[in-house]
Amino acid sequence: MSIIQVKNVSFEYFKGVKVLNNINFTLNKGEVVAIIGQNGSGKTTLVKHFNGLLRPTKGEVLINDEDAVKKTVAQLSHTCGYVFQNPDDQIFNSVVTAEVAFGPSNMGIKSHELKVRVNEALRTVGLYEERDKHPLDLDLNQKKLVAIASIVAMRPELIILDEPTTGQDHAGLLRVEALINELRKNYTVIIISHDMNLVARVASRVVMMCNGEIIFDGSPKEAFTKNALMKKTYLKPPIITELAQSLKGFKRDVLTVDEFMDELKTKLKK
Amino acid sequence: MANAGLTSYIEKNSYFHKVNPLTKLLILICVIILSFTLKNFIYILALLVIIIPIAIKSKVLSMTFSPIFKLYFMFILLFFIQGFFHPYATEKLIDLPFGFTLWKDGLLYAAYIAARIFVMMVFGYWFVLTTHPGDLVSSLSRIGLPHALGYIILTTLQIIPRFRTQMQTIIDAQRSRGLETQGNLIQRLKSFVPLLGPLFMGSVQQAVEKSMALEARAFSAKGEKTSYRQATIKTKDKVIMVITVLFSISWEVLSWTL
Repeated sequence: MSIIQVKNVSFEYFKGVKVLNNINFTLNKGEVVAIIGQNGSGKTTLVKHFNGLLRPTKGEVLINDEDAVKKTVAQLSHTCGYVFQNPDDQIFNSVVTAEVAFGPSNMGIKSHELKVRVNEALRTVGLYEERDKHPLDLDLNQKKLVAIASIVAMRPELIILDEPTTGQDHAGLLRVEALINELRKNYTVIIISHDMNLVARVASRVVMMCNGEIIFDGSPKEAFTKNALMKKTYLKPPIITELAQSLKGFKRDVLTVDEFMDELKTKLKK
Repeated sequence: MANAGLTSYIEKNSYFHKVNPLTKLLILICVIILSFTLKNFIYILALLVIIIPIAIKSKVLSMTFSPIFKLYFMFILLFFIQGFFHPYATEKLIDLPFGFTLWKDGLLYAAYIAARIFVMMVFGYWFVLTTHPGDLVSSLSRIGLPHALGYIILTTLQIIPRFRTQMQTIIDAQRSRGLETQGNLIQRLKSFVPLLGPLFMGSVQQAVEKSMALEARAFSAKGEKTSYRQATIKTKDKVIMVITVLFSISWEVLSWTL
């Protein structure tokens, strides 16, 4: 089952400056897709097409087999929830619960159901204890989680996380990773990230972008062995992958320390 | 579109881009004085005849007039309010039902105000489009403007485009949460709080951070300050200045004697 189909999409902000060039992409239900690539490669521009913030200059975007052009952003937000990079761009309420309730109340969700959704979303991101605080009293990690909760409460089918780990400390990183693993149970997830460790650990599929084109689409294991492509987009595989690749006779697609240790043990037994 | 988004300034290689900011400022000041002192709105509007070739020569013609089209509603409102409700109106133009009267002097007054705003806005926008803020501030400090004041001018010129881009991000973020920013008046008013909240909070936060960043780079240090950008006054600047002043005086005199 595909949620999103992108067919031959090109996009220009200014005439003649192509930011997306003939993109073809299908997103299936239940996937955790990481979109990676250097700054300015078109990652954010691409995902902004999924909830209608941008409309393709050429080609079409189908959301659940319906043309996205015919729907408003508000309508599309029921299907595609987009969490922006900077939580300060959206927080305006004086209580966390009210902030989280903003999205669903725009959808017309009524009192009891609204409360259920808000509480559930706050529990999902682990901010239930903080629910009565002022959002601006929270630290950056938590503000980011408020932003994510405010999308989760809308219960879209797809949740897009734009750079969920920038500016986070290690505890924050672990929390985001745990959260993505929680979200994948009920949602399809897209993450845009420069954090290859995160990508290696959570993504089921990697889409590599460069100069407005998709240059790779496949599993993380495969992605991190494409050294030439990685170099082209100025990306570096996780250090553990690099270490394995530099050792003779080791598998080249090791993604985690655990995998590395398994490999090491089998090698030592031999 | 170099520099777009930072200020309204547009980098182009044109005759008037190379003219000293002070010269352009003098033109702007003369236009402002003229638009307040000329006798008749026709004389004010005639100043547009001058800006058109200047804007063409500056390669920013369509941009120069763009703010006018965005504000057409304000002009309609101006004519409506002054035409019907001008307090000192004496000359009737048309009597309308329900006791409304369209006043001739009200409309003339509106035309006068509109012409004033129109001309000042067009010249002002042309000035901003063709003048690099850095050049402006460095030339102003050279003729004695305090450094801090120069910085205020610089940030003011930058703030509107910055607000615009930030506002767009905030609008996108809230629309992604189902906020309708288009539609009828009530819907638009409703969408105000979610949009202005983050903008306001963000600006306060940025102002605090910016001031600290300035201090960290010795902004309030005493002594002479130098500037990276240097705009010199050339012969052509002097010629333009003289022409501007002579023209302004004769146009002023002409409007009151004819």
